[in-house]
Amino acid sequence: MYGLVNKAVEGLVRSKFGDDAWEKVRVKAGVPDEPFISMENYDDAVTYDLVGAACSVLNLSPEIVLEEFGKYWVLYTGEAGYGALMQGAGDTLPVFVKNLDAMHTRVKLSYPNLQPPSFRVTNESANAFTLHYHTHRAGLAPFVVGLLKGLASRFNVNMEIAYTRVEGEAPHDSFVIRWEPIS
Amino acid sequence: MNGDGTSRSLSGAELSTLFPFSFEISRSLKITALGPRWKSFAPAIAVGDDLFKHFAIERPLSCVDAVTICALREEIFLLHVQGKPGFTLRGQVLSLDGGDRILFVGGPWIIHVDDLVVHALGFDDFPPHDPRGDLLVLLQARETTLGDLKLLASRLRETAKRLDDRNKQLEEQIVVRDNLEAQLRQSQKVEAVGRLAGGVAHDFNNILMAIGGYASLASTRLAEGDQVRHWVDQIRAAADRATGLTQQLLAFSRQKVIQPAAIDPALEVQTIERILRPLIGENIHFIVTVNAQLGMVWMDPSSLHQIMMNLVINARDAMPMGGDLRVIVSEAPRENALEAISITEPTQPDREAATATNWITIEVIDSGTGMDERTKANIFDPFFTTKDIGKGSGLGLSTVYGLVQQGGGEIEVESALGKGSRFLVKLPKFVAPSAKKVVVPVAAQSDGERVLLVEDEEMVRKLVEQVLTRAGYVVVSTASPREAINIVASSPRFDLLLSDVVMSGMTGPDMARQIEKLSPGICTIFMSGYTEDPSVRTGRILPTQRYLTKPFQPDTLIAVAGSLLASRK
Ligand code: HEM
Repeated sequence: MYGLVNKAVEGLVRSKFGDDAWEKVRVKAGVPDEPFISMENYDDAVTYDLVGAACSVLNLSPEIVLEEFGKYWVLYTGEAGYGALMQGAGDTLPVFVKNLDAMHTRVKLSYPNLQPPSFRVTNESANAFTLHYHTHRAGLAPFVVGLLKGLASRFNVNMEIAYTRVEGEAPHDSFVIRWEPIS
Repeated sequence: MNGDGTSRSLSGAELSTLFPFSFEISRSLKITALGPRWKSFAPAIAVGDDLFKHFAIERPLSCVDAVTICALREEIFLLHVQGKPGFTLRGQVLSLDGGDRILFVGGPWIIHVDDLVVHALGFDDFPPHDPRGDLLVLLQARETTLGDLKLLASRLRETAKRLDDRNKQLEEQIVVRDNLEAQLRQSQKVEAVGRLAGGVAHDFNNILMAIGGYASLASTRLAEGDQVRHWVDQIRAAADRATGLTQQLLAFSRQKVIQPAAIDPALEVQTIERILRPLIGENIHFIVTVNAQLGMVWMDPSSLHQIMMNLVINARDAMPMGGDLRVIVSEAPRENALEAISITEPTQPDREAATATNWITIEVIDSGTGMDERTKANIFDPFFTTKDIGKGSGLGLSTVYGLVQQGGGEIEVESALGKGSRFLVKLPKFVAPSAKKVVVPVAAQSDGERVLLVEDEEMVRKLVEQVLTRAGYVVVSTASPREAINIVASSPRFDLLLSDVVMSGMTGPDMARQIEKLSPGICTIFMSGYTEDPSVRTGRILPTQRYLTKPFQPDTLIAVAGSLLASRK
């Protein structure tokens, strides 16, 4: 994954657990002591190793770390120079979610080797929809849960998320989402 | 819809000009039409072929059937073409005739400018309406920027590494400095305690001398078997024990005076060998060779011990993997004997050493790591050490140097890296004064020799006066060094000067120098338990001088005075 993602993992660990914790995570993951370059493509293993090291150093489960990372990612990309792009993606939750694919495809302009996920929306009603998450990568459903929670607070809504794994011709994760604005 | 309200559709030719890479598929995902560019770009693609035979859909990720494709007509599509790695088509699908025909409109999507060449694409392949042509320039800019960034990053990495190394060096230097400071503080502390101890011992020695001395005098007046004599002897024994204690204090404070004497280096080296052998370690072959029939040297035995200890232990430490350690004691002729002495000791031409024509040499040779030139040049520097921190203070060889010099000798080093080292200590051979001068110290009665006694401690002065008078000496005594000089000036006929060392106004040795000028040939005995006077501490004692450590027994004083005066004759 691109350096942008690894930088966000670093940012999460530093901001929530301190610089010393990051140093331990970095060493444990065997990552050299250098800043990540956002636009450089790193092996996916780097990101997975960082998450794994964070779990053992901070004594947290992968689900919790990934979910935290999801929440952080929404904040982080909003701040790391992508605020305008995020705003352009929509000012309500459903519109935004439906624009995620287009957004990631456009992001491919500056990250040519990006392998972004695809999000499909079905069964949309006034305060609910089903979100289908297609990806090249394994084990990231808890990350999406965190992302959704992050979006819930971005759009100031209460959210309920029900997760199911869909197998078949196009296996993917699906999330039934109910939401309502916080009055 | 256009401005005038009538609908209008693009002709096939217009569509082909706008989108040369367009194509059309049926609901069953068969290719039904191809834009004009395909023929030259990918001749293998033919009408009637299956869509997925030639194309893979990268995005949207989940597109696997016609229904989904049609449903996603607002999405950005990325397609890969079989056999064209690195080439991507980017565009959009249009659903025509209620989904029976699906039209792809779009164009090449390049992620590296080099792919233009790889796929034989030109600017003509990017129609004017299509901003993707400008994107090529952006891509180039992106690559240049990324290149710059990586270069900067690597420079930064190198700089950081250099800083890091420098930091480590500095940290090491700080540790070394801290260590030296700690050593300095420690030695200052020891010195301060030493001064204190020495000062206390000084006063104590005077008191002990009075107690022990008067007890001795009293004892000789009392009959054997007399109960009082027994008590008096007990007082003397107690004073002796207290004397032992003050000696310990002085030894601790290293204020003990160096007392040179004629010693047999062969004997001393053998004594040291016994002490050192267990410290050498089994992987080192320790060979001591002492050539027979050596002469004596004039030196404090403890100085010789210290010289040997330092040299041998250093040699051992230079051979962590084992080796040969040889000590050879022999005699060698001395070139320019008199010159050598007159340079170092111009004021003492009649010192015994001056007549020495031979060196007694002690060689300490190891087969160890050896030293480079820099180390060799600094080896006698007080704080230079090659030993690891905590293993050696660096004071060892400078002490050796000082001690050898004090003894009127010289020291030489030969060494080369990997070749081991050889230290050569040369000490002047001691030539005993002619036979008649050698006197065995015995308590003897004086035949009226004149003694000038200078001692500012009344208790001690009175005691010594009595002891000397009883032994037949004619004693003139004073508490002041200045007055002593005046006495000699007006009546220079004195045989012996008996003086304290530390006195207010002037030190014993300073006073003695002046008196010796006024009364040449006068013998001197210094009495002190402690002295800060470096001239005495470094052992510059002339043959006409003796040193008596307080407290001493009356008999000892008489014996030393007798033998010194006899040697003068
Ligand atoms: C402007 C904001 C965003 C940017 C720049 C961005 C960029 C990226 C990047 C660089 C990756 C790594 C993929 C790779 O390197 O191959 C990624 C992955 C991902 N993004 Fe985003 N993203 C943004 C917003 C979001 C949002 C709001 C969501 C929320 C639902 C999201 C969902 C994901 C997921 C789930 C992945 C994981 C990759 C996978 O499943 O394969 N992204 N994104």
